[in-house]
Order: sequence, then structure tokens, then C-alpha cells
Amino acid sequence: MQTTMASRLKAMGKKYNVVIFFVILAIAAYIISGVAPTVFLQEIASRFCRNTFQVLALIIPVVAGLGLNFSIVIGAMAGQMAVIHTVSFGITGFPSFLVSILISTPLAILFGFLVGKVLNKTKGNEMITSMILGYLANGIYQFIYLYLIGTVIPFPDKSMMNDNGVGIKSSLGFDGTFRYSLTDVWNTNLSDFVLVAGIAALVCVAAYLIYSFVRRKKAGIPLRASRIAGCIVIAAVSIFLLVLRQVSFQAQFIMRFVTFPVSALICILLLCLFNTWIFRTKLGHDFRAVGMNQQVAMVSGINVNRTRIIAMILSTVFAAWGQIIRLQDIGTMNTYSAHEQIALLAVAAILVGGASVVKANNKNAILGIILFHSIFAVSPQVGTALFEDSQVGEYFRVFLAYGIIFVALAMNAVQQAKQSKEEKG
Amino acid sequence: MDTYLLEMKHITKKYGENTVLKDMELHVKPHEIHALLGENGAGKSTLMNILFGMPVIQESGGFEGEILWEGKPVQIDSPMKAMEAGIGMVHQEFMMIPGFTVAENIKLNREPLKNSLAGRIFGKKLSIVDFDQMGRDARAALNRVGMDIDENTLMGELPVGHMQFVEISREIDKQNVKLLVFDEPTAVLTESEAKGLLKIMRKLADQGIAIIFITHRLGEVMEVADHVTVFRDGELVDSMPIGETDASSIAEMMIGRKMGAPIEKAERSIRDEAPYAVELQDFAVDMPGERSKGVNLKIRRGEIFGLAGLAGQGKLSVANGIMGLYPAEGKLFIDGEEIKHITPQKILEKKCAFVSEDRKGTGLLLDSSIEANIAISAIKVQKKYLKNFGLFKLVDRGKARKHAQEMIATLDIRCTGPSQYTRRLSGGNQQKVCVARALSLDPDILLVSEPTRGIDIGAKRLLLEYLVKLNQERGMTIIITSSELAELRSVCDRIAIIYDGKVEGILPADASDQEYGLYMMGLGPKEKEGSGAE
Repeated sequence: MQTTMASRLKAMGKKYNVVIFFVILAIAAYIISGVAPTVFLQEIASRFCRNTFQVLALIIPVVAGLGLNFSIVIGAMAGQMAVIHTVSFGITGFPSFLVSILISTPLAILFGFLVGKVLNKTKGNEMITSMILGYLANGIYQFIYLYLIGTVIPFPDKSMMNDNGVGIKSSLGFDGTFRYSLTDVWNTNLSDFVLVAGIAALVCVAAYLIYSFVRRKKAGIPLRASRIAGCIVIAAVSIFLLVLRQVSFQAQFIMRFVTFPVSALICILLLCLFNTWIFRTKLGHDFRAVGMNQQVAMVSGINVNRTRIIAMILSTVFAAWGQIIRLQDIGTMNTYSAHEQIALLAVAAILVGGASVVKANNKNAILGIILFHSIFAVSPQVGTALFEDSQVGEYFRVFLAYGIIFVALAMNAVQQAKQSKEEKG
Repeated sequence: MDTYLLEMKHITKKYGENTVLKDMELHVKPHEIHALLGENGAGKSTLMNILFGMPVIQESGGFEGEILWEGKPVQIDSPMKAMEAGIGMVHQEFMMIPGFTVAENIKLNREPLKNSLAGRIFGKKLSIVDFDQMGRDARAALNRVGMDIDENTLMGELPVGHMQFVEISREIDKQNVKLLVFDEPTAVLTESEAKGLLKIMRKLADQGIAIIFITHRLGEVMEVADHVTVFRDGELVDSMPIGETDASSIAEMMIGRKMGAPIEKAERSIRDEAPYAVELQDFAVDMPGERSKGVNLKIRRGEIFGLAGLAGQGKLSVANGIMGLYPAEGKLFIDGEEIKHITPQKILEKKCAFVSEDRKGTGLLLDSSIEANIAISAIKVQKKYLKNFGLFKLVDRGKARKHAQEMIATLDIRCTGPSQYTRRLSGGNQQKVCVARALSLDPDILLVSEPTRGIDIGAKRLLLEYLVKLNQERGMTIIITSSELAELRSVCDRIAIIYDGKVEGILPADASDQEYGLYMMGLGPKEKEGSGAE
């Protein structure tokens, strides 16, 4: 019994080696940086709500065998285009969010379709192709918004344009227009959020357990252990936070000063639910089949190219929406570079969460973004603390983002090599 | 008269200039196990690709001829159409997704769906897959073939032998299936598994499903088939009920006589007393798709030795293993000396040279000149064509060119000159460059694999004649591996037939077609006597 327990733990360690590594790194980074807990929590909370949507957009292409979709920058561009035009029409508040979503969707569908077409011609090299496509699209985007606006394309809002009347300003502020158009719908502090969400989570877990217990009993199948374990973890975390909030005045005090955008969180949850749902549909089943073996899928009559294009379209649309959610929370936009780092950060985050180029799910995305940003948020301070130079801090951040991608990919590769060796031997 | 389920009439198929099927006929009745026999390249796979509407056929210009399905002419231009008609295929390499469960594989792209709101609005693609129903359907199909594996296991965790049965379950789960094609289904099975499979085939045929059975194992054909059709070189040789023939005559039909005039060889007094040049003991080579499992051979010095056998049986791996290109186990002796830890470098130093079957992959540097290609091995291994400047060495281009020109003349390489890139050469001339390179090592033992693949008849003959000449004038030991039995028989002294990774037997060049056929189909003396070859 003990040996099986030990071997099980060992297997778990192997399976989650990337995650475990970054958990340790995150804790170390937090301790070294000496950042105040309020600041830290605020950073994580707002970054979580800003970025998770785009990280979730990566999942479908991975499952459909297209690898990590670096071309979500193209989706982000679609989002930015929509925001620019929405603001120029003078729409404000929550309607401006809805209009942006509305405008971005057809653009993103078109871009996703085109990217999918190209990727179908370059099978086996999807990741590098999608990366290069991102750069190419960047050029076209800049050409349109730097040169064509004001010369060929009429643009109503002169205040957003350069002084000579050609092109959009390189930096746009959305204060009083588009800023917080979603966030302000439901925005609360962390303390209240923990209270509501904690109780809601407990109720949901209980309801789920009862429901599946009854259903399984009818079918005569025992509950799956992994599901029960998942429920226990969620319940334990909720209870811990609730108790902490009730018992420790200090904790409650810290939580009160952290604002938490619930509306963005709801969007994220909806996308998680969508991902779960889509993989239970016929389409999602096709994604999996195509992702695992195109040849077999084709012979069994699945339209492989079409399935891949649908995957790309979905990913691009979600990336566009994600960019809109992000921009309305940040409130300013670097017109020509806001999209550039998107793919890098999203890919790094999902890898940290334990995903690989062939496997990814909601859990990887959520866990990854929390871990990645708890490292990313404090890394300038870590850099400063380690090298006693604040200049180094910013470089340290860039180094960290690429370093994380490299380490996660390398760990995955090593593990895969080991596995295939074991299978052979 | 019985009505036919499937009739394929006057099927002709060309790939470019190359005719692979010529006026082919196939008639299959329901309830029948119809065996298709023929050597590799006889056209079986092409015919099945046509039947299955594989894209490769349309992409290469379609085919001529007519297909009748249940008496009516049909156009099968996609695998979907074939499936709709009721044609199923059990593939040679498994069409399975290892990360899916058995049930998911069986119901692949035919998943039972639940009636859901989204599905009703947006079409069946967004309906929820009914995994419970899927399990039940899969269970029923598995029961029909008598398999008691758990339908929820991952495919990748099943032993290879079971995968075949899952594949069959998938085909018979299709409601309307009327014809099943089994493409070498027993190739990867153990004997008892194969027996089980044959039983299931019989059972299915009795249930009314017609079966086309492609195999290289004559024994199985005799055991289970009702009707047999034999192909050779893309043409129909004969088709008859199994009762009207026997194993020997089928074997003879498959091989046939298709030899040109034999190549003139001076009388030689071989060589029973000559020492062994190459000796293999339990030589096993792990070459994917061409695995050998324990070859025992003794090849005398000055002999021209042939290695024959059907594709996938392991004949190609022997030469590759000797050269150290794939990991090998067992013992290898060259000139009586055992070679341990085989590496290409070591073997080349033992004055062996190799002309690979993979001309474009390992054989040639396509974007280098002819002279560079000819000289490169000799430069690397024997430090020929080098000028020594003390501190460093440079390639002596003059010497290399002179040698290349000599070779171009002797082998009649058609080119614009020694500096032409090999990519521009025709297949035959590329092959000659490979031979020239091997020869510039001045080897004692020359291993040649598939020397005449993809080259025209004239060039073929010239190459073979040159090999014989080398053997006679320089006393070179030559080991030829080839899929073309006829060419081996025209030049070799002895020919070993490799079957299932082992030597089935060694025959003299003038043994009968029948004997060759039986050996290649695994019905050689090994089975009768139950002992190893030699």
C-alpha cells in the first residue's frame, strides 16, 4: 500500500513537474521581492481578470493539433480595430463594450479563417507560421492605421488622430469613454467577493456532488476519484479563504483594499464553460480526433481542414474579445504595440500551468495565469533586490517571460523523451 | 448464376508514364472470402485505393474502367462515397487514435448524439456526444467479433494483436457494411491471433458480408478463402475458386517467368572452398517496417549473393544492419573477423561499400556535383584525393575530377559533365553515381540494395552487367538486395529468401518458380521441417 502511495506520488510529481517547479519559483520570487500583500493581490487580481480570457483562447487550437496559437495577436488586432472605431463613434459606457464586441467578431472570424487557410497549407509548422503571420499582420495593421486613416479612410474623431490629420495617435486614452465599460458593471472588493464566491462555490460543489452521485447510482457506476478530489480541493480553498477572512482582521483589511472586477471574471467563467461544453459536442470530439491523428480522422470521413479552420476562427474571436476586455480595464492603448506581447504572455502562462503543445485545458490556463503573473508582477522588484539596480528590473521581466517559455517547453520535451524511451524499453 | 456484389471491369491506372494496372478484373460475390494475391507492386493496393475512392487516385488523374456495385454502375470518388455504399476497410497499418478509448475509436465520426438545444439550432456538429450510448454500441460490436476487452481502455494501452479486432469491430459496427477489405491483416499478429482472425472472417462471411482478403501468407489463403485472384505486374493472371487449384500452382502463377535473356557469365568454378567473406549469426536489425529477427547466412568470397523477399519481411534490413545504419544484434563476421559495435566507419574500413536503396535520402547529395558525390566517401574514409599541406589538407580537385571522368565513361553516366548537380540526373544515372561512389572506395565486398528500382530497362541491364563484370574481374563479393526476383535470378549464384525476418531458405538461381513462390509466401522447408535455414 505504501509503495503504491509512494509510486503514485512520484507519478503525480512527474505529471505536474512543470507546475511544481513554477510554484516553488513563485513563492521564492514573492519572498525575495518583499512586495506588500495588498499590492501583490491587487496585481494578481487585475491581471487575472485582464488576461485569462486570451489564455483560454489558446486551448482549442492546441487540442485540434495546431499547437500554441501565436497568431492570437491577429485576434487582438481585430479587438483593437473594433475599440478604435467604437470610441470614434462617441459611444461610452457598457454599450461601447458591446459595440466593440459586435464589430470585432466578424473581423476576427475573417482573420481566423484566413489564418486557418494558411496553416492548412503549412501542416507541421503551425507554430512558427502563426508567429510569422502575426508579424505580417502587424505590418498591414500599421499601414492601415498609420497611413490610410485620414487619407483614404475617413475618420470622424480628429482628437484621436495625429496632428497632421493622417493616422491614429500612437497612444490613446479612453478615460470617460471606453475605460471600465465592462469592469464597472460589477466591481467589488476582494473581501466581499470572497464571501459571496466562497459560499457560491461551496453550494455548487455540494449540488454537483449530489447530482452526479444520484445519476451515477442510477447507471451503477461509482464516482470517479479525480472528480471527488477536485471537489474537495475547491471546497477546501473556499473554506480556508472564508475562515481566514472571518478570523483574521488583518487578512480582511488587506482584502478590502483589493478591488476585484467580477464582471470580467464572469466572462472568463463563461468561456471556461464554453470550452468544457464544446469538447463534449461532436465538433469538439472532431477537434480531439484531428488533433491526435489527422490521417485517421480523414479516413473516417472527418473534414480535417474545415475542422482546423473552425478551431482557428474560435481562437481568433476569443482573442479579439479578450483584447477588448483587457483594454477597457487598462484604459489606455498603445495603438501600434498593445497586441505585440499578447501571444508571448499567453503562451508563457498556459505553459506554466502545465499545458504542452499537444495538451491543454481550462485548469492549465487558470492555474498558469495565476502562477505566471505572481512571478511576472514581482519580477522587477526581484531584479532590483537581486542586482540592486532598478534598470535591471524591467529587463529581468522580459528575460523571465522568454525564460519561462523555454523552461516549460524544455521540461515537456525531456519528459516526452523519457516517456517514449520507457515505452520502447 | 449468382449475382455479383462488386464487379470491377477493365480497370486501367497510370501514374504518369507508369502503368500500374492494366485491364484488371475483379468479381466478388456476397458470402465470399475472396483472396487477392500478388507480389509487391503487382497492383493490389492501387486497385483497393480505386475501390475506396482514395484521393491519391483522383489527384493522379483518375482511372479508366468501370465499377459495378450490386449490378449498378457507381462513381466512387471519395472514401465517404465508398463508406456510404457499404465498403469497409481493415487497414494494414492501424487507423486508430491511440489517445482515444476503444469505444471512441470504434465510433469515430459516427458518434451517437444527444438531442440538445444547441444541436437543434446549429446543426448536429454542436450536439452533445452521447458517451454512454457510444460505450454500449462499441460493446455490442466487440461482442460480435468475440472480444472481451474493456471498451473504455485507451487504444494506446492495448497490445498490438487486439488493435486489429477493434478495427474490425469498427467496420462491422457500420450498419450497412456489405464488403470488407482486409489488407494484410495477419502481418502483425501472432499465430494464434491470426487463427482467431481467420475464424472471425469466416463468421462474418457467413453473416453475408463479402470479404476481400489481401495477404502474403499462402497458408491462410488455402485455409479460409473461397475464391482466389492472382495479379502480376498490374495484370490479371487468373481467378478461380479455391477448390480448382492448390498452393503450388498459385505460387507459380504469382512469380511467373518474366526474365529477359540471362546475363552472360563466364563459367566459374565456385568456390565451395573459398573462405567466407560475410557471416551472420542470429543477426537481427531494428529497421522500422523491415525488421529482421535472426538471420543466419554464410556468404563466400567472390560470390554474387541475392537477398529476396516481399516488402516488409526484412530483406532490406540485412544490408543496412551490416553497414551499421540501424541498430543490430547478433554476430557479424567479415573475412572471419568478428565486428563488434558496428559503425559505418568501421565497416567502410573493412573494405565494404554500400549502395543504399534510399537514393535520395542517404544515397546522394542532390545539390552537389557528380564528382563531389563520387569522391566524398573515399575522401572521408580512405583520405584519397587529398593534398597534404602539412597543417591542413585540401581536396585535390584535379584528381577527383579525373576519377569522376573515368567513372562516367565506364558506367556510361549520361550527364553534361562531372560538375553537373546530381538532382538533374535521371534515376538510372543517379544510381550509377551511387555505384561509382561505392566503387571509388575500391571495396572487396559490395552491398547493393534495390539497384534497379525506378530505372529503365536499358540502364538496368547495363548496371547488372557491370556488377557481374566487377565480380569476375576483381573478384569482388557482391550482395544484392532486390524486390525484383527476376533480376536476382539473372545475376546471382545463390539467393536467400527472407520471410518474417528470417531466412526461409537459400535457392540456386535456376530453382523453379514454384519453389521461389512457396518460399516467399512462407511455405518453404522451414515450416515442413520445423528447423532454421542453412
